[in-house]
Amino acid sequence: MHVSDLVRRAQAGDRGAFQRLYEDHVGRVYALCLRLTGDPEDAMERTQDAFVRAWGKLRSFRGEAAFSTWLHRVAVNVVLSDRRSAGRRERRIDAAAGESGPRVQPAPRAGLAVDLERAIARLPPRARAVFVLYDVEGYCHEEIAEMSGIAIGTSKAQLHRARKLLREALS
Amino acid sequence: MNCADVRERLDGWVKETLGEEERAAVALHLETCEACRGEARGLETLLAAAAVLPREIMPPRDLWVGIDARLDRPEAVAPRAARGRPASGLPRWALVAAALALVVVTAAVASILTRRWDEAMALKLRPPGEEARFLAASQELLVGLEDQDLSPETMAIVRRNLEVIDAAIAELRVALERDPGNAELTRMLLATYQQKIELLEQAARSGEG
Repeated sequence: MHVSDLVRRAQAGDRGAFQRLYEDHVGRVYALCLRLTGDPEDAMERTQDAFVRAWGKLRSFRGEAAFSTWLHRVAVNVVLSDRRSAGRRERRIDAAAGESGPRVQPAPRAGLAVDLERAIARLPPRARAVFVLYDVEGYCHEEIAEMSGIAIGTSKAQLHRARKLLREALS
Repeated sequence: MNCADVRERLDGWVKETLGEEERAAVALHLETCEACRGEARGLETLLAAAAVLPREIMPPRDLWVGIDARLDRPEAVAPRAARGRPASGLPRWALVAAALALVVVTAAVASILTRRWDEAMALKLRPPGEEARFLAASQELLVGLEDQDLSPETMAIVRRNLEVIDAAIAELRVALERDPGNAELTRMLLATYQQKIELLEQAARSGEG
């Protein structure tokens, strides 16, 4: 069944159709949540939150963008608005940094993509979010600033910081 | 162009989005500046690695069961066609009703707690059902608030304050688990619940204005 048919059915309350949409999109949503949070457990929670939120807002989807784009945006908003969780993560990362020195450690050599994933997960939360959204997901600074509630200049500064830390970690 | 000008444009250089004139100026500078060439190479390598990261990663376990179980809860406002609601968000009366329900439910919680406290110092702070109703009502109100035309700044303030209040509630509940008969902790918890109600009411009122 085509995605637009599944969306129409889900909008009418068909859970089976929504489950199909989940199955088709969970990989992308989880990848996004994992990179934004840097924590698999947190990412699974946020992925669930994103689909629950998407179900609640499904009627507002008008088909102007692709469903995957819309769902992606919902997931980004879920993660970025979860400030309490972000605070927890920040404290956890700060605590880890306190134990082991600088926040970004050189990643072990096991292929550049794997190294990069690890280095992204070790970034400070805000720098990580901006890097993932800008350099991995392709959002622009204006969109990131709007979604994150930060100034465009802050988004640019965080991107610069993230890239610098990642290059150090990968070198 | 000096080094600072070039580094501002390296993103566009690597992604090939610069105009012809800027591109030529950056190229000229890179020919003679080893430091900026190093920056450009480093950025190219990083962006090339980012470009080939997998677009999909499957979660370690199936998440559907957990999602499915939550679709009927107030946190997931069901598709509005199925609930007979307008598509443009919760109506204002619903927000007001939710706020009132919150007050009533919380008053009931407070009443139960106070009565038990008066009757015996062994207080149970989570009467089954009452707390669930409180949480459901507050969640409904929060979901409604998100559909309002509140400015991002206002929502950020509301969220920040809710975080503080929720953290206080959580700490007080933990403390009361350890010391169920502590009257001072009970008073503090009730006052904190009240703060949460007032904050949500204020936010709902600003959405109406």
